[in-house]
Amino acid sequence: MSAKEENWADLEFLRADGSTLRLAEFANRTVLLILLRHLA
Amino acid sequence: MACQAHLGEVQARWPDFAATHAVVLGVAPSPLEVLRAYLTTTSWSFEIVCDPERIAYRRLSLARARWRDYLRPKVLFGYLKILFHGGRVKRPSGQEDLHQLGGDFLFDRSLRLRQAWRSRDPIDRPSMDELLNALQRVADNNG
Repeated sequence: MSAKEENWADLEFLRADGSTLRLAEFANRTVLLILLRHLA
Repeated sequence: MACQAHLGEVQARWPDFAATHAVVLGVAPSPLEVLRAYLTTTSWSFEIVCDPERIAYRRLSLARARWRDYLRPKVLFGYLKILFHGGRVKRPSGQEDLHQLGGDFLFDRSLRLRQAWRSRDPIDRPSMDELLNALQRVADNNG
C-alpha cells in the first residue's frame, strides 16, 4: 500500500502532559503535521 | 534553528491557517522532558507534541542529513539569512538527533495523505503560500 493510500489514523504522539494523541482524534478535520528536526 | 524559523513563519500567518479550520500540529523527535522544557519558554498558537521513538518519521520516510548537506551554499545561505533575521544558533539537546530531517504532511478529512513535503536538506521547507494553497485545495475538495 502506498503512503497516499494508507490510512494514518493510528499515528500516535506524546502530548506534553504525557498523554497520547492519536491522529484519529482529528477524523473529519484536515490536518497539517509539521515534523521538526529538533526543538533547539 | 531552521525548524524554529519555520514554526515562526506559520505563527506569523496564523490567522490564514486558522481560517482553513485545519488542525496544525508540530511534532518534535524529542524526549518528553525536552518537549516540556521547551514549552516553558515558547508558546505557539498550535500544539507541539513529540515522537521520541521517531516512529512517524520512519513511517513517513523522512531521511537524515549528511554532513556535506550542511556545506551546500543554499544551506549556508539559509542559515545566514535566519541569523540575519534574529534567529539564534542553539545546540540541539544531546537526546535529539542532529541530522534528522523534517517535513510537512497534509492529511485530508479521511486521514489520507494528500501532500508531502520531505526536507531534502536542513533548511528545505515549503513556503507558507504553498502550504496554505494546498490546505485550501484539500478543503475545497471536501477533503
